Amino acid sequence: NLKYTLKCVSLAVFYHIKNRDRTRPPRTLLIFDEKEHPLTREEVPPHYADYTPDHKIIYKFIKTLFHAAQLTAECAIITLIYLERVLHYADLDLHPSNWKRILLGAILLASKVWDDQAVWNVDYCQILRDISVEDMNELERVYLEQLQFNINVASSTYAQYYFDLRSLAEDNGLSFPMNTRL
Amino acid sequence: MENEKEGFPMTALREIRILQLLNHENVINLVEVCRSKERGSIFLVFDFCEHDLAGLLCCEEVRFSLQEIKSIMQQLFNALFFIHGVRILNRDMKSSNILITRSGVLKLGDFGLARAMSKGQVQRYTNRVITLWYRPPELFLGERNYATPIDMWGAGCIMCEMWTRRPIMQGDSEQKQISLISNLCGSITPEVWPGVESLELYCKLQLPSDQKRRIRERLRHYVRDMHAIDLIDKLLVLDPKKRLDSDGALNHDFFWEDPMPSQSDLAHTLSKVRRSMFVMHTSTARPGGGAGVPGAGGGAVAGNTNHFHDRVF
Repeated sequence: NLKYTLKCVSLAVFYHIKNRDRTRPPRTLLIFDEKEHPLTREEVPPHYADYTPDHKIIYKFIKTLFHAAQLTAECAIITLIYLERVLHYADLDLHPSNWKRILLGAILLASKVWDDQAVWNVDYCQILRDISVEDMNELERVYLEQLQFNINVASSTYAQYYFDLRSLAEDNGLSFPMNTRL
Repeated sequence: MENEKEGFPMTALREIRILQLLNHENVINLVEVCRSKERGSIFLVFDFCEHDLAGLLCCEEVRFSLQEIKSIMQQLFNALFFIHGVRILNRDMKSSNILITRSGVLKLGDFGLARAMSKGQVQRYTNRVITLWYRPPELFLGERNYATPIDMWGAGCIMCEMWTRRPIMQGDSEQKQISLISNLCGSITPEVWPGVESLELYCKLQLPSDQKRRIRERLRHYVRDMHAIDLIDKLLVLDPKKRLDSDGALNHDFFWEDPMPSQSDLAHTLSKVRRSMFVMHTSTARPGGGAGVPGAGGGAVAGNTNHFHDRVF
């Protein structure tokens, strides 16, 4: 069920980017910009900010992180909650230029607060080889500040997201196994 | 305060998460989290509490009536009933973590060692928690699948202190502490505690044998109220499965027989205390104050509520 949860979360992220308001410049922060803070040493393509990524690319990005850090399905749902919370609190648009780093920050925080076997920031530098621990720490700091340290998730919120993800899966023809634990 | 490799300390993040979840009159309220720009420290800002229980008990001028003791203990069990109901273990019960406002409202503080209980199968939580003097026998025996009774043991120790005015079992090592416990509560045997023999350290520790349970007779020198003695006797039970839980404690006759708990009496008594009573600056009589175990104080959170200076009202 981890696989299906990750697919659903990817879809939710995909729709955020796809349905963004294109009539105005994106509201974003420099710390989330991939050109300013590249995740890999490969050159960022010139049109990195123009094209909505396919949801398979988003899934691949999340899957790589979740598998390498051995995170759980519950952690994926918390990731989405933190991501939407930071967009809401900081008034940001999820956008081709910033989705990876906003997602990375949410995954980092979700695992640290909720997973029994949490991952240290430096461990992500093993997974994303070209990123520095200072950059990870700064990303985390900004995240916490933008969230105003509001990192608790009420069980009702968690349940709400769980069911919303299920309907999203159904609407998109994904099957969601019944036994995902609340 | 930041460890470069870990990033923002995980223990602090979890403490913040737990504090945000705990919203109750008798649990300390986290107002906000601030960060200082220059030094990178973070501060947890709490509601102001004038006193802590350890400090008040050190101060001889402060005398509590039975109604007042009942009010303090009732509020403490209310706090435990609430946190245990949302599946949080405090794991650091001690009188210096019991804060009391000038108006007689108790606030359970310091969730730096707290954790959420996981559901389902057998757990392997860390065993190195709780200040030595308040640590229950199952932890000395190596239990890692523990639960809410660990906090109830500490509550029993604290309740005794309401009369003795000092922590009742002040061991300076784990071995010494388990001897003190056996001396008061009787020998640890499979007869009084079925299954104890399967705990990891049962054979490795030197457990005093042939000790009788002496709680009631020892307490008689301090405590007159029979209900109080009975409640303490049911809290300081060796076998965690038989130890009274917070609901049982709140329903105990101690709280429902005259004189009834009175928070207004408590407020009146405290209104006469002119200084802030925190154990860290009232006490020289408590050697080692919190005889904590090295490495147990996980949460390196600045801005602890204890860090206030004397203030005159």
